[in-house]
Amino acid sequence: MKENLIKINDFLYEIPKTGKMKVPARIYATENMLADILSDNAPEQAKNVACLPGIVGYSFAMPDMHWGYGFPIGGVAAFDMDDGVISPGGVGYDINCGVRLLRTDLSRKDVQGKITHIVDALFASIPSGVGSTGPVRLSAADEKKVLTEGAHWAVANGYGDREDLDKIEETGRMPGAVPDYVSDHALKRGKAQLGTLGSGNHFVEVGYVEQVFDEKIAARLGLFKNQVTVIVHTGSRGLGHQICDDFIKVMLGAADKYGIYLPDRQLCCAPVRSPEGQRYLGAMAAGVNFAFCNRQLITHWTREAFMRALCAGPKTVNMRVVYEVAHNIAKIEEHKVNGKNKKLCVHRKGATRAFGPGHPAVPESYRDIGQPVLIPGDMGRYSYVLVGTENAMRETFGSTCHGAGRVLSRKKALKRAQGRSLYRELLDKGIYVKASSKATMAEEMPEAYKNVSNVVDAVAGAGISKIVARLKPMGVIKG
Amino acid sequence: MSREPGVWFRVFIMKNVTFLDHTADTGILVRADSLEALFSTSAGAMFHIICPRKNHNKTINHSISITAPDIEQLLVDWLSELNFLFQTKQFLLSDIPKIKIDYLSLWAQVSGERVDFGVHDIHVEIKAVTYHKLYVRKINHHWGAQIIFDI
Repeated sequence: MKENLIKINDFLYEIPKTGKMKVPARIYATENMLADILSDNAPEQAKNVACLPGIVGYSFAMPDMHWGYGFPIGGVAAFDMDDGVISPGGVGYDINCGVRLLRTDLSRKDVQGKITHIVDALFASIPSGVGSTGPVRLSAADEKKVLTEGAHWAVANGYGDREDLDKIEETGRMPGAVPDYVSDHALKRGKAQLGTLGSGNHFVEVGYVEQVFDEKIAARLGLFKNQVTVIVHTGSRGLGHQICDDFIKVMLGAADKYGIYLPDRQLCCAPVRSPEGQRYLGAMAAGVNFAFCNRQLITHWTREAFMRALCAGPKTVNMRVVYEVAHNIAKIEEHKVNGKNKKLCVHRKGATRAFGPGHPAVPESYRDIGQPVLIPGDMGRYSYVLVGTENAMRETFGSTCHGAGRVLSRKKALKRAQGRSLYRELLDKGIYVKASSKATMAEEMPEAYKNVSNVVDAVAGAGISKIVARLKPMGVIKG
Repeated sequence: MSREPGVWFRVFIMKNVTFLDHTADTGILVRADSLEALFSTSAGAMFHIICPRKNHNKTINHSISITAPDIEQLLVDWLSELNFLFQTKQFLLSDIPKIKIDYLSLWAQVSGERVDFGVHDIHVEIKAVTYHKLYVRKINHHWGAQIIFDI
């Protein structure tokens, strides 16, 4: 594969159009990252995406790219509304998996010696791990309201403040959700799982602002050095997984019906405007709203856990939403193509929207600085706060990376963890971790991931995001 | 014959299954003498990924009946249905006393127990059974399948 790569600049490489590819594929990476990227199947997957009908510009892959199923994780693809497609595999099973960043009025010294109390309180309050069920008992009617109202349902039922909603993508409620397109299987899987973290790479992380790179923008986001922060990373749980599963079956039939060539069955899709495409968009929006509500509930319990652990009131902790991003989603957005505004169906699978300054979809209070972008790293190193740029609007349909990206398979990580106490190793670095399963702890070990600093340096170097601040973990709960 | 519940199932799985290395997820390569054995072994392997160490009792029974347009879809639907039982009823598979595949229809009786978090070491949650690199093939006198799970 390496011999076929064309270097566009120090941060961007192109796989030229060959065979059934309709556009070239473009990979954002530095030269040092290429060996890892090319040893994986992800570039081949980016090429497969480039074969889908109506793809516009390029099939993009971000520097955290790795082998997914169908689309690569870290993939971005935009499709023409008239002759392009929508693909559930291009969104992923965990619809609206995303990240919320919370800030507090606490500084690092306020929580010194109390991190174990905070993490233990979080672990007790937030159901996590395989098979976890949430404390919210939903009636069938309420569950459907969650699917249309998203985080607004949570706020209306006493979980959080109205102010929280302004700082969420889509203000925490994606329009167009049709609960009737969600199967009984999906509703059953979702019912007991609202307000749960799940397992795998999902987490709640207590950290602090270790370094500020752009004082002015950080101040606008309410961030300051040594400030205590919390990151929530989870998605739509079993409800989203089942919606994806159900619609992959629909799309396999649709691809046949519309004569769409599929290099991988997992890429099955239908024309955006077809009945199958429109039904998926309605069901996907329902899954998106479930995830918005899920993170809102977890935020509420995080606030309570902090107050309980620190014996402090809400004004002392003052936990506010900085922003929340979705990194597994498809959206109908307007972008400039060949100098003209065009509506496109933009798929981001393991990629984050990164709209630049002035875009109307960015909350008014942040509109002049650009959309905040939240990039969690592994539990032993850093996470980053960035903002979107004009360049991202021009180059990547306003998209950037979503995390560190795995570099070790789970099997290899388990092997490498043998005979080691990861809990102790992290504690020695000042990070207290509480995990539901030892296996998750091993699979999610820091060295299983790329160094997130290299990933954000690549997107910043490419100009598709701007680095604002670096956060360092102090305590983590893992599913 | 007296035996520890589920042991035969585990031994059978380990001899006929290769667990694949996938960067973000996990997969299995399965080999069996018959289509029924291929489906049973794939199910056992999926539950081995979910809960690798403990053997399970057989206190709960379920019947599963599925039809699909092709054999690969039938395998995905079968595993997805078992995963649905795990997700919604916390059902852990111990045994498949009866399974019949007739063209593209499957009927099976499965037995197992409800998860006890104090006893079972639940390793991962399987989000879905994917179609990525999926195949079901007859190779000479054997059946083979490859399945990748999203976890």
